[in-house]
Amino acid sequence: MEKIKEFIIFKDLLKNLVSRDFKTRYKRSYLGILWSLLNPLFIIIVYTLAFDYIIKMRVRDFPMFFMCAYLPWSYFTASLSLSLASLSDSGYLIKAVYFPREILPLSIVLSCLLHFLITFIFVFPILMIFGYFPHWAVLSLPVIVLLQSLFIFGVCLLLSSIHVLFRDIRYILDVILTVWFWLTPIVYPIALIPDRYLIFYKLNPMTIFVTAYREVLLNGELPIPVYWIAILIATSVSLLVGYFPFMKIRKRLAEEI
Amino acid sequence: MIEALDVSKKFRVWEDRSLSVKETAINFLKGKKRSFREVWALRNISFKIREGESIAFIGENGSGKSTLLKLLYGIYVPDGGKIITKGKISALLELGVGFHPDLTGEENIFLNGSMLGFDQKEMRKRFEEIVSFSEIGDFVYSPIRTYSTGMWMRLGFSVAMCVDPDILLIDEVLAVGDEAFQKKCLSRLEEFKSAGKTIIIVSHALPMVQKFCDRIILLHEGRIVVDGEPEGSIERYHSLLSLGREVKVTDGGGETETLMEEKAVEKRGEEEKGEGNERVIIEEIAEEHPCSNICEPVEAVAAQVFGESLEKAGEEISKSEGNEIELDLEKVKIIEIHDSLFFAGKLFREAFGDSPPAFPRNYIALYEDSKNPSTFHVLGFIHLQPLGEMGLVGGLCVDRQWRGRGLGKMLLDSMDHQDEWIKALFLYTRDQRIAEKCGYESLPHPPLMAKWIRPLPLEKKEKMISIAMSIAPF
Repeated sequence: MEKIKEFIIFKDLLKNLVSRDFKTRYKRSYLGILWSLLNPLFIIIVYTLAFDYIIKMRVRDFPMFFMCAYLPWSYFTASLSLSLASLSDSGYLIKAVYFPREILPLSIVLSCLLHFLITFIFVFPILMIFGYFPHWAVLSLPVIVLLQSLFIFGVCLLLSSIHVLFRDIRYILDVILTVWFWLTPIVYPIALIPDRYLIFYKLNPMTIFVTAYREVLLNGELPIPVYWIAILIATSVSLLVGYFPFMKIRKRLAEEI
Repeated sequence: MIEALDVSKKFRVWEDRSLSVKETAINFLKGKKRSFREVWALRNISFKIREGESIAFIGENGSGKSTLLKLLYGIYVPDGGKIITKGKISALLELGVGFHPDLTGEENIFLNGSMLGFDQKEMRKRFEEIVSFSEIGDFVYSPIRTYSTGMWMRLGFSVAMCVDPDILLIDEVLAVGDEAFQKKCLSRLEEFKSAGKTIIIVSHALPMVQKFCDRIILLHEGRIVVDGEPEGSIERYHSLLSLGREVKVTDGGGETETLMEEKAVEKRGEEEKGEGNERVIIEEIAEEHPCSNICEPVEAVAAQVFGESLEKAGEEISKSEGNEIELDLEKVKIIEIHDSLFFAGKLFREAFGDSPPAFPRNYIALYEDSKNPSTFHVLGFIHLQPLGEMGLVGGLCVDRQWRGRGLGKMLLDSMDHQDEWIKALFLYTRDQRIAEKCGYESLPHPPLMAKWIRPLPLEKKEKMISIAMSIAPF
């Protein structure tokens, strides 16, 4: 209850921090916010060249197939790497002003969320060009985005707390994210995975999220109930696991940084 | 309203901040945790600040003032005790914190305001006022990386000054801008005060503080020494400052004695001057060889004993109805490290008022004349044995916790003791006869207390006390 009250008091801080991050990310660059659109477009083109034309992955409409998975994935990785140092680099703030410390990683996740949402400006038109018209199942998209954001927030809390005490986590994270990227069916369909490994694949929360996005955007279907349950479990586990070290470190934060 | 109940705060001082992965792995396998010392920054702080009061915390560097402010604000969480606050707190601990150089002054005002916990609507209302207070004019619409340092600071100050908290905490940041701006800030604070807001200041600017505040709390080594009228507290602070310096001289003596003598001789060779000069030399040396934090626990323990014994003495005195009684201070046991010498003083006054009926006069004189460094120091020992005008025999006590440092270490090294409490005896006296009888060399210059401190084997204790007592006038 106290926590919620505090959050209400500091909601404007959250808003301002998000807008600060949003405004300053592309400040002093010519194309500004356009980069949020151009960057993923270039990546999609490069992967299409590599995996559709050269390696010849047999997937229908590879660019669409890749885009629907890559965008949520890059939302995930961008949040992680940007929020990693959100606590340890804000020592000057933490030592001088009191506010709920969760706001720091949260504001970065939200700012990344904004960038993610902006990409939908081109996602829908391109999907329609390729003949994928929005189905009513698309209405479940906000729920999936919200749950994914909560999931990401949990992981960010965990990582930024660890980063305060253990800076090596940054380099470890780079490796983990690369491995994680290839273990998640982003550039290849999950159908390619042999049946006996399938269970391990489905333990990967990002597989679930990515599949959910594809179901909704490409197949125009709601994810099956098992997926929803898996998403809910992944989200709550991530929040619990993230909050635990965070609560442990919160009290000493101002001293340890 | 702010209330602190028995608040304590400790910090971890990591012995080795950055370990390599290999070392970490080895330590992890061996089950070793990273080692750290715990240092108490504040101990058992209690006070109550009512609405509308203006209070200052003063004290030397490292006395815990800023830590206390951060505890009140909520940046630190106390390790013991409780802090209760009612009302909206705004704090000025650092100026322009969270300003982003690429954002305009306007955007930064809103950002900074929200960090202090004020919402957009309220900030919008005060925006004009903030801009005019900061005197930065149209610059408010340009990115603040184009600002001068002064403008940056003034903007930061203005945001904190123009919002409307119930309680304002200020840490040593009033020295912003030119004199005119400072005056403006002060008058702003006056307005705050007359509007019935609570203001808490940490500052070294004593004249300002004395003029502005209703009450001053003096902190020393993490404890409250005085909590009261500005004049009294400041006076006490001054005496504490001169005292702390002289205590250092005394403590430094043990370790740097030879050096000190050499230097003294050297200097004396250079310029033949009187005793006064020597004091200066010792002070210089003490500054070069600061080894004296160790004084703290020694005094703290002693003070507790002293306080306890005074309490007991108080009881006995009230029973004795004015007849003179004998106090056996030897019987008092150490309970726990708890409070400072000043706590003892407080107890003393509570128990007896200004002149206890039948309490040995020399105690009062000793305690009250705290400007006399030797007295101050001598009080910090465990087995207090009065020698009247002749001096005091004291036992020095070193807590295990402090064995790694300075004088404490020296004592432990020289004595090789396994006890929890290590004691050494020393003598303080103005009387040459006592010194000689107790096996000390003759003392050439009475003010040079530093030379008289010697660790002494425990078995000599009884003998020494008996000698001292036999010479003592009572």
